[in-house]
Amino acid sequence: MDVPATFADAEAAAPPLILASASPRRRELLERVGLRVEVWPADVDESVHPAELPLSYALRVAASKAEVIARLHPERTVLAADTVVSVGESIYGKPLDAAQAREMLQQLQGRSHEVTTAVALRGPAGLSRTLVVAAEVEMRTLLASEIDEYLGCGEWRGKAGGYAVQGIAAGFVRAVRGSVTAVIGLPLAEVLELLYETGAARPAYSSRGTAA
Amino acid sequence: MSEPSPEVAELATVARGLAEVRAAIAAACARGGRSPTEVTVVAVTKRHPARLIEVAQTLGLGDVGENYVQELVAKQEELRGHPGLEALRWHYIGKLQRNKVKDLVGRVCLLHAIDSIALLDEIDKRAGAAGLRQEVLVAVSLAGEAQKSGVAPAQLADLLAHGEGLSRVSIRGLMTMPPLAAAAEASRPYFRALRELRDRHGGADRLPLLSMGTTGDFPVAVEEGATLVRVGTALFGERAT
Repeated sequence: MDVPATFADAEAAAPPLILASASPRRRELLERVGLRVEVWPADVDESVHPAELPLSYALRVAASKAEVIARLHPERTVLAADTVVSVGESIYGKPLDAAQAREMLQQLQGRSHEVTTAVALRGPAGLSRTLVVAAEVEMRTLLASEIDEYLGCGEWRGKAGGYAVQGIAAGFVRAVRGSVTAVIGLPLAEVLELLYETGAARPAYSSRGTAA
Repeated sequence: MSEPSPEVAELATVARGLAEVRAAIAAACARGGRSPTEVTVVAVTKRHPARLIEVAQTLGLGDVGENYVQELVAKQEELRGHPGLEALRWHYIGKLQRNKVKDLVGRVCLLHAIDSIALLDEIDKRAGAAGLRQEVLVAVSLAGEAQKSGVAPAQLADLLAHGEGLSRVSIRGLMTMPPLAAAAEASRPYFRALRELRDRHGGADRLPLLSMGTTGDFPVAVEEGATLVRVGTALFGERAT
């Protein structure tokens, strides 16, 4: 067996964090801060249970995804997340089609809504942690023709609430009160705190080479 | 100058803790647009000697919280007859089993953790037998699998409706305990969710009390609308056991 010559070598030899999510935005956020990530999307029940609160829903789905993938990879550390858009108790999930996306945007525009992201971490030796971060998003009033144009560009696909704050819809969002990365899909500050605290990762900004 | 006696030193320590707690509540109220008079501090005295209840009362605290039935009953017996303690409001903040209800009804002004219709019925029965009305809070579980006790939000409507049909029970609000976390801010989504749940079930007119927030996170709870905060360590230090 080749023994790592240095601690850095040992670090490099450790398997990467598994991200139990197909979301390219979550992967990009983690890689941006130098984390190597292996993607294993999880297939779980994402239907909303009767009278389920947005908070409880996000926690349940994030935990389900982490647990399903952790069972497949019992020696690895697994991170999962779920993002919920809500107004009061009404949950706005990922629209199934453009018509549904239109309905959502019509309801969200001109008012504030909550975006809640729950994060679940699972790993060997009983590692099991959860956190949840919520933010308030204020959306300006949108022209009907704007909504048409936005639907035409397709950015709504696969996004809770039918919009992407870091995309073209950045022009819809007047204010974010709370964590911006929680709105994008992964509360990065809190996730890093959790990963450092549990020893699941170490800071690695300089390993990324020249920043873009 | 001689050293203060242990009793005086203890009083001074708790007084300092109380001043800090009140200042933190005032600051949180200012941030949340509330008045400090809306928030009651429940001094959590579990696992501390009864003597500390007298210290708390001396400093103007009118509410104490206990988690264990035997301990609460024993302390009430020990403090029986002590001047000034007749007006003290006792809260039972622990998990409640049906067979313990008869020991608590009439001894406490508020039960913080009701989570079943069976418990409501038992309280109604015992309060009826004692000729009084018992005030309670419904404990809500917001984290699903991560929280074993407390009702699921989906069951709240039924519980409240059932409570309104009972003549000897008064449901005055909701309670929740977020999962243990290192940072106070981590609890905020849970506090906010409880307040929003309360607002959707009749608002503060129907459910005026929100019991949420402990030593680690009460300022965040107050910002999010808590009316009862359960504070032990910040007043009395770490517990012996």
